[in-house]
Amino acid sequence: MARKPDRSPILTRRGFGGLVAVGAAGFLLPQAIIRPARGEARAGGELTVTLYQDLRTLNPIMGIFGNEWRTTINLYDNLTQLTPHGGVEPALAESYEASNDASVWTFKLRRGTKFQDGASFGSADVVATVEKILDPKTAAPYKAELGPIAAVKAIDDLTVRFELSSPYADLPKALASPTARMISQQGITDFDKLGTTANGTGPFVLKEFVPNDRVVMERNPNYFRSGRPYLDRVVMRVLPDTNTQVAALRNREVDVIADVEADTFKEISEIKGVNSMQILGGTFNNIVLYANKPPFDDPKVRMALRLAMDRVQMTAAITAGTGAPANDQPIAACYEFEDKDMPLRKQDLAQARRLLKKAGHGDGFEHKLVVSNSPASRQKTAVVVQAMAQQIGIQLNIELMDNARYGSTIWNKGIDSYVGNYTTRPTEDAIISKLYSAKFGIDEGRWATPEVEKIIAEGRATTDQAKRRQVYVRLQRIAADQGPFIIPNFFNSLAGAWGYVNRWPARAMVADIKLDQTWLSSDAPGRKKT
Amino acid sequence: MSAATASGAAPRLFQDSYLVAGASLTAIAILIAGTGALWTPYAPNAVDLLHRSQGPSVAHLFGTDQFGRDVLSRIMAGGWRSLTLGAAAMCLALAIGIPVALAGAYWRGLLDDIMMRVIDALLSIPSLVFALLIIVGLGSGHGQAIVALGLAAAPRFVRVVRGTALDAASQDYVTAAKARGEAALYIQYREILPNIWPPIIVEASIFVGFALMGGAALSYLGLGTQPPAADWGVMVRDAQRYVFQSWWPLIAPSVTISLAIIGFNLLGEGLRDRLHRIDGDAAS
Amino acid sequence: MSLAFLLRRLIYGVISLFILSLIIFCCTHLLPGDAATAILGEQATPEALAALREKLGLGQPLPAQYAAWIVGVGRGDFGISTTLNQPVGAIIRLPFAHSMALAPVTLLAAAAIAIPLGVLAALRRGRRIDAAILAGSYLGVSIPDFVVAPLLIMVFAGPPLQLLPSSGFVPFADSPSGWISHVVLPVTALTTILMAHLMRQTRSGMIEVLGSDYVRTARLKGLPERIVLRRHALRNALTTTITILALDVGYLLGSIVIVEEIFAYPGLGRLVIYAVANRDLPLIQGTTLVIGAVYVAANLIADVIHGALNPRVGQG
Repeated sequence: MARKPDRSPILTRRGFGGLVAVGAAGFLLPQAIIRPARGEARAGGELTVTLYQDLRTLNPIMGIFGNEWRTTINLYDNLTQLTPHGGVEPALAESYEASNDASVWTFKLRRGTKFQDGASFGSADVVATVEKILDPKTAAPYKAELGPIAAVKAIDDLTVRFELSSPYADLPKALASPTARMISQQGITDFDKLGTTANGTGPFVLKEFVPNDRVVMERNPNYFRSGRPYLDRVVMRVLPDTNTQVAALRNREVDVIADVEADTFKEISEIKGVNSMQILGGTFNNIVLYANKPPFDDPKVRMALRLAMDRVQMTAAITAGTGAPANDQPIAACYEFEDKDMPLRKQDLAQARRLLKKAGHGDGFEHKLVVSNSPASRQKTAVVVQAMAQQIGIQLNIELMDNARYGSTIWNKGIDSYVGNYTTRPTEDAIISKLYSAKFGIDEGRWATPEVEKIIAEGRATTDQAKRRQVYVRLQRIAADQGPFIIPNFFNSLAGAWGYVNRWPARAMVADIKLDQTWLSSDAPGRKKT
Repeated sequence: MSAATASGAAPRLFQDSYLVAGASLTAIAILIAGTGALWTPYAPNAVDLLHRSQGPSVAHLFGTDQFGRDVLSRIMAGGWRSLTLGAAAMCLALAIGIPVALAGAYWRGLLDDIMMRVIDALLSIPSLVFALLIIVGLGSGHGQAIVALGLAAAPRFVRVVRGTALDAASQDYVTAAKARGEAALYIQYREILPNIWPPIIVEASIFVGFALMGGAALSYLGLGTQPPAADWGVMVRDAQRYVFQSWWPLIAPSVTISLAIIGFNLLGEGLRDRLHRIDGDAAS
Repeated sequence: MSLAFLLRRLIYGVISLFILSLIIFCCTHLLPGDAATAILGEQATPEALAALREKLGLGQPLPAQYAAWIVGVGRGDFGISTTLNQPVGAIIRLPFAHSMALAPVTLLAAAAIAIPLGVLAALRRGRRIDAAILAGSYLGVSIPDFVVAPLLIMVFAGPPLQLLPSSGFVPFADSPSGWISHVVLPVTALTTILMAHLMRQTRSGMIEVLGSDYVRTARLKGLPERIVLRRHALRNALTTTITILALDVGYLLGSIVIVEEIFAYPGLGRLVIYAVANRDLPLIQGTTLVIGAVYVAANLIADVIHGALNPRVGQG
């Protein structure tokens, strides 16, 4: 069965050691060859995946860590799911359509889907789930990114209507997000049990869960996509140390590293027989400069700092060649409406110094920068930005603190500058609204102007794709030139899997690993276990 | 009867070698650290993105780390930070331990009983865990690590000091002082304390070694001194992640910490042996 | 050994635990700052935070919170973990068992090697073998566990040897050989450190016994050295050793915390680090209390054995 080459920017390499296509700036270049699967898909076998760090809860609504999403995507389904090239397609919903002004959406559900306990899936479950997410008492962390849903109603057993408080074109994509998985009515009633038990419609059934240690899932024989999944068992193990992960991969203790660290990628690429996968991603760290107080309230000062950055060199240092330079705004190449024509801002120290002088900071200044110790890429970003800023006399004093304290005292408090961290979102609007809008998000840089709010609202409401592209391109330019963030690079989504693992779902959203199409060749160690 | 068989003591030269070795290592460590406080070949936090993860060279004697920072400079600056942490923690432990122990040994009674109960309770958690608890209370950081380690070590100090103070308190000169009507605090600090310095010094120098290790352990866990500050524990942790790029950033701080700790331990042990011998000679 | 002695020791133990619980509670509630944002992180909306704060009962006065906790502990309820949203008791159970699997193996291994060596060093005091053993023990005590453990990993689990897995855990029920292979390196790391402590303590303990009046008298009586050793010295040394071993449970528990973290071994030590790093107060309180209880229990057992072996002590 031949596979159509995807249009998505997927890069894979056979691990035959040695040849790594390296560009002038030292980046691992995308390769045109998509490695075809070895033969026909065959059922059976056990796949072991290793994850990094936290896996605390199985609750699909409350989980905030990537590993939790990697688990729930296999136990549950969403109404829709994202395609490899950033589009959206039906899943539990069969079809969906919007009213003319995109303020009412109607979803038709697939017939005959069952939860793993045998109960039927229907509109009542959708309503129960969505209402639970929207309920303020639930305190759902990602409620805002679902969109402006005012009410959700079951029209009949297989039809659901979403009534929005303002037009929102991205509702289908938003419903594909990791915290919008469909839970049964019974599950909503027993909500507290969802931390350690699971009853979804997904391709795998929960067998065992030890928090921060492992998850074991077994094949759901009644999955609505018949014939799938191919795997009998999936074991996800948390190994919180990169060296350990690599050693485990080499020993074939694990078959896949689901989220390879940037610094380890080269080493993994050189293991014979391992496919190292790199997908252009949208994860980034942003230096938050508050636009509502000195010194960064002056746009000249912000621009000066921007001009001090040598983004190519910074990206090489921070991502070890597994990233892409960025222009201080959050829309990366993996998003549909990326502004492909925006030139990368070049370093211009002379101009930067001139701007500083004009702003009255001719002798430079000091500024505190708080950095959480997790994930580790934040520190790297901070150190490198600090080195760049020093060249124009801006002394960034880095204060590292543990993540818990950072979360409670610094993040989004508007007091001190800090290094934020955001992963790829399903839609442009999700990250833009969050960062730049006070109305729909947190306006992290305290910068939202009426003009920006207007543009963001326009982007949400328009369904015409061409028009949306215009809107988002304009937004990217404004954010890049005037916005309150320094974003030097994006991080690519990295994974490493042995060659006998076929169709590992490498995606820009690195936690989006639904394993229903993955299968093992006959030489996989996991085949001997079952 | 030769000294060798009577008290089971080893030949004089053999025992002095500990003291000598310990003192030398400690002196070297202090020298490096002291220099590091004032001057290092490069600024310890100076990032040089073009020369990342290089091995030793003429320009960088111990190579560079993943940001291009000079490892030798970071070892020197880190030495200063680690040693001051050890010294400060020790001073804190003494500042708390000595008054408490003296008070208990002198006054005895209910105060002493309660105090010993509390000390016993504190000693029933490993000192690292106790330090972790204090870090939870105070937050992570260099200063917090000093407080945590000092507090965690205080109970042990109290026990040791109280033991010798008890002995001293029953001596004639103390009875005489009481008879003279001297104030309690005077007796404790001007009569008892000067006579029990030796074991305190021994414990203190051994403790600096453990404080170094504890401080490095806390930094290693990410709960003590925070990167990008140069600190031996931080360096070991960072270097482990990049060990396949270059193992110099790992070897250098690992060896340095080990040697420094060995130095302080030997110093303490050497002092203890020396003091025992002095006592032993005086007694016989 | 009298009942009074036993009771007294038991009461001391319980009192110690009480005081410990008070200290633990005070430490964990020193820092102002918000468990709620610590849990929800950067995704928190103000309403989410308020709701969580209410759910966690963070508004009550401290003494009330302490009382609630300690009463719960008495009933076996250690509270609910704020990060994992499950009862702390349930979370601790398995890791506790896993750590308790490491501890006795380590103690036995360390004792088996260190005690004979320590005795040997004491007997041959001042000679070269003593110097060698002492030197070895200094190294073992002085080299930090976070240097030894990664070294072991690099040598045995990394290329080219790749003999053993570098981390993790396989339940014994699933695969005995797998369990052993995952346990070897952590136990080795722990044993190396413990062995060094034990060697030195055994040596000093033995030296003291050898220099004691009891032994000197036996020697003066003209008894052959072997009988002096076996009948007199060793028995006394045994009681000292037991006390030492009890103390070393404390060292062991301290090392376990770091070693488990490095090997990602799912034991109590690693759970403590996780709890501390994430400021999960109920979990911190629960795990540190359990660790303290283990140490108190070890001391209690040592005291009891000591009392049984030495009638004078056992009078209470």
